[in-house]
Amino acid sequence: MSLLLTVAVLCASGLALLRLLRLATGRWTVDAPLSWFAGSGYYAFAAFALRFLGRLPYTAATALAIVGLPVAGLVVARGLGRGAGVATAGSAPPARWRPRPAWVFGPIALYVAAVVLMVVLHGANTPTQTDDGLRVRAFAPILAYRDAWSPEARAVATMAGPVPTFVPSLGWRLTGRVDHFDVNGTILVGLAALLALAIGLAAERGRPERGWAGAFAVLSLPLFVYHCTSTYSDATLAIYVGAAFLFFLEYGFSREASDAGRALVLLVCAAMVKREGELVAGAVGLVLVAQLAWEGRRERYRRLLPAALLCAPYLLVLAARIASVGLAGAFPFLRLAAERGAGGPAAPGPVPAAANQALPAFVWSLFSSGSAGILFWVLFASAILESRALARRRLAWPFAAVALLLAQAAVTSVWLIPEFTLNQTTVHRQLLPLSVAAALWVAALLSEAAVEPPVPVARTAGRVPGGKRRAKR
Amino acid sequence: MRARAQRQAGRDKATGVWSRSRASMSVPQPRRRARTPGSSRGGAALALALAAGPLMREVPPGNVPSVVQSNAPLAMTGEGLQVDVSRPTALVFNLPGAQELDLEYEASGILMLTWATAYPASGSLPDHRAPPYRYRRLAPGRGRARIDLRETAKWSPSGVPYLLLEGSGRFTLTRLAFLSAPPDAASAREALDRSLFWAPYSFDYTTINVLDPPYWSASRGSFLFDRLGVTFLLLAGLFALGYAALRRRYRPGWALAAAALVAAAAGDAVFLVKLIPPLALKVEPDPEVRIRENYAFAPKLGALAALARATVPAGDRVGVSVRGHGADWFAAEVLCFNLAPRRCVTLVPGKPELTGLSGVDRLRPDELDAVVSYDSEDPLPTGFRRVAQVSPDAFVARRP
Repeated sequence: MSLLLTVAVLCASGLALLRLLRLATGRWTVDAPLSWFAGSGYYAFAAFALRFLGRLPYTAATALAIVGLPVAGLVVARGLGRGAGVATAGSAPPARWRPRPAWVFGPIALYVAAVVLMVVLHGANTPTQTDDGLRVRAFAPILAYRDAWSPEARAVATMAGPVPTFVPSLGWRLTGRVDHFDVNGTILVGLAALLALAIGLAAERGRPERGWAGAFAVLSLPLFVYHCTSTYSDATLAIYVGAAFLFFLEYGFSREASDAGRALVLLVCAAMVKREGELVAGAVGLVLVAQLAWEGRRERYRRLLPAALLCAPYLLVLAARIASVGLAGAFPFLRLAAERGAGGPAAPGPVPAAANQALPAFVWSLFSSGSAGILFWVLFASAILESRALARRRLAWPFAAVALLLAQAAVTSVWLIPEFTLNQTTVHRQLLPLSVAAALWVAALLSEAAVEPPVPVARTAGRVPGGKRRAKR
Repeated sequence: MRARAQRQAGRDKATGVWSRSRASMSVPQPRRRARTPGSSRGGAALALALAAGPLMREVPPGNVPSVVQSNAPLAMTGEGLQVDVSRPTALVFNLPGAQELDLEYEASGILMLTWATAYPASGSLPDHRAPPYRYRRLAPGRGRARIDLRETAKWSPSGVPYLLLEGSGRFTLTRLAFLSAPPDAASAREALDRSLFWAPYSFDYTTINVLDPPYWSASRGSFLFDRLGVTFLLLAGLFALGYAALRRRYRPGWALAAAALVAAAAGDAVFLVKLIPPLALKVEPDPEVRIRENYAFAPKLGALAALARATVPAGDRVGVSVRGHGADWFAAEVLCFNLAPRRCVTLVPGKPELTGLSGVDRLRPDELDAVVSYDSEDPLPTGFRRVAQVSPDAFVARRP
């Protein structure tokens, strides 16, 4: 019950926020899943900032005020005659819902439905496990519910990030009852929203094949599928990055600033998941902002101002984090990199390792372990064989983001923390956001490439592809 | 095999706490053998059965006690071979070369069966939690379990079946049959590869880091996704050439898409076959039932967590007492997490300040209102008495 309340309240709040920011599409098939991401990200941001920067107690009243603010703002905006705040992709082809050919996409749809059903059932049934003697990941929202913030509790919340800490606790805060399975539930809702967004967005833009191929590619990542049934935040991070990446890809096709805006908002949300969220989201955001800057250079970079405004609230998250655990604890990866660069020890790992030993283990985790299925085989082959077509297919910038994520993962796994690559532990989890982004990119590339391209008029005059039978017509 | 070895190393050395906990979970060596009439005939019957070939062979009921060794007292009753389980109880079957066991049994209480392969000559018992961790919960009543030992770590025809019963209750083995490995090495290797190829995933608390890497051929150490990756590349080339020959155009994108679809479909099919068996797919609306029933590899612990949630009032401050004087972190974390938002700490005898999950909760022993004890060797703190129990060694106590 509390999970349903959480979903309903956050979707309503998120939809109001999207409309206020003029980022709603006006299509419920897109706006409904998008509102979950926007609402949960906004709620986590506001709750975290108010608690640790504003020092306000986290009560039911605070929670209601946070989720009610966008709704109230929308009502006021409408009263002032500011419109509904819908930004549609004007250049997109008309919506089309049935992917073609049916004999290919029928089984794909069945696979997607079956896997989602299994994941939802198993995820909702499985109580929280623990994996080491150090911490239980799903404990962070319970600390938020308690709202008693000792230094140890603050460290847990900072490690988990605002989204995993505050989103599951909303329903508990409002009902006064803790249902431990809500932690699983919020991850499952995120997965469902990601898949619905992939399918709905592509269909609304007239390319249902891309959406179903994306959903299939994401659900062909075995470790990601398994993670969605757990209470770990790695899946949550991958889901937010995936949702942002969908709009990043879409921006390449539509060139609509609103798509880039949606991608940036979702990246800000992704940055609030785990400690490494901002590194992953920052890498993708950097490429997207570079694309905006490159394409907007003739407009004197005017496109960058809205992007900067959408990202600016994240500064408050950083400030709240510093207020919570201090400057040294707020940026553990910077500290780790500095120590590593100075020749000091890396993370307290079990196996002393050198980079040259970690590299083969990293390559094994990509290609042989099966954690990502055959994704990286397809990714590399596609990037090489389709390299000349990337720009034409408007997929070069998203590919740069995937490449940057891969480089980041390689540096982290081989240089920064090789110990956990050698013993094949966290390296696979760390690859989840990259895997989901890469899967969506590959699906977009191959679904575009598989469609028969229109034949140039100049060539048809002399030779018609398809053989003599068509030529005779 | 490299992946398994790497993963094993990681698990064994992940943290100091981990090692402590694993040590605390070890079981004693088998030392007793049931004394029943007919034991002396067992060797001959067994030799006969082993020589008979690849069919499932039933061990005559009278010979079962001579085949089984245990660290707990075994009794031959009219029903079968019976053992009362209160501590981890090992059953080692003197059936060298067995690749499958077919058990019929009657179980009562909360019992979990784990299986592995033992090599008695090595002088030590297998680490039954080593990946792939093979287990199943035994529902009360009569049941049957067909166990494929080839799916266990380090199986070979020279190993013997090793079963471990954990929990609390009674287990009666009413029928025992086994299938021997093929006599020639090549067939045995082929059977092993086939079994491991289709073996279901085994979920435990470190699966979150990596799923069991699927093998193409475990005996040769080759992995499924290497084969599928190469197949994908070959298919892509073949499709591109075929398309070029038929349509006189070079379209690598189409060929890549078609090849990726074929390879991914094959990988996904294997993934689903391995994934479905360990999933909990029953619709259960009550979260208390889900906690009680779905700690798949720790059913007694799940039952205790559910019982504690129902018994301990919301405002109580709880101490959990676990095996190894607080060293069994898994049990301590599961109990404290499921009791949250109650304040909860792990009891360590003699420690003036006790800590809970991530060191957030800190309590003195005299501040506790309730104690939840799970397989603990430690006595209850003074002033507490049992108010509810799952078994004699898994209970809830409160101050009167």
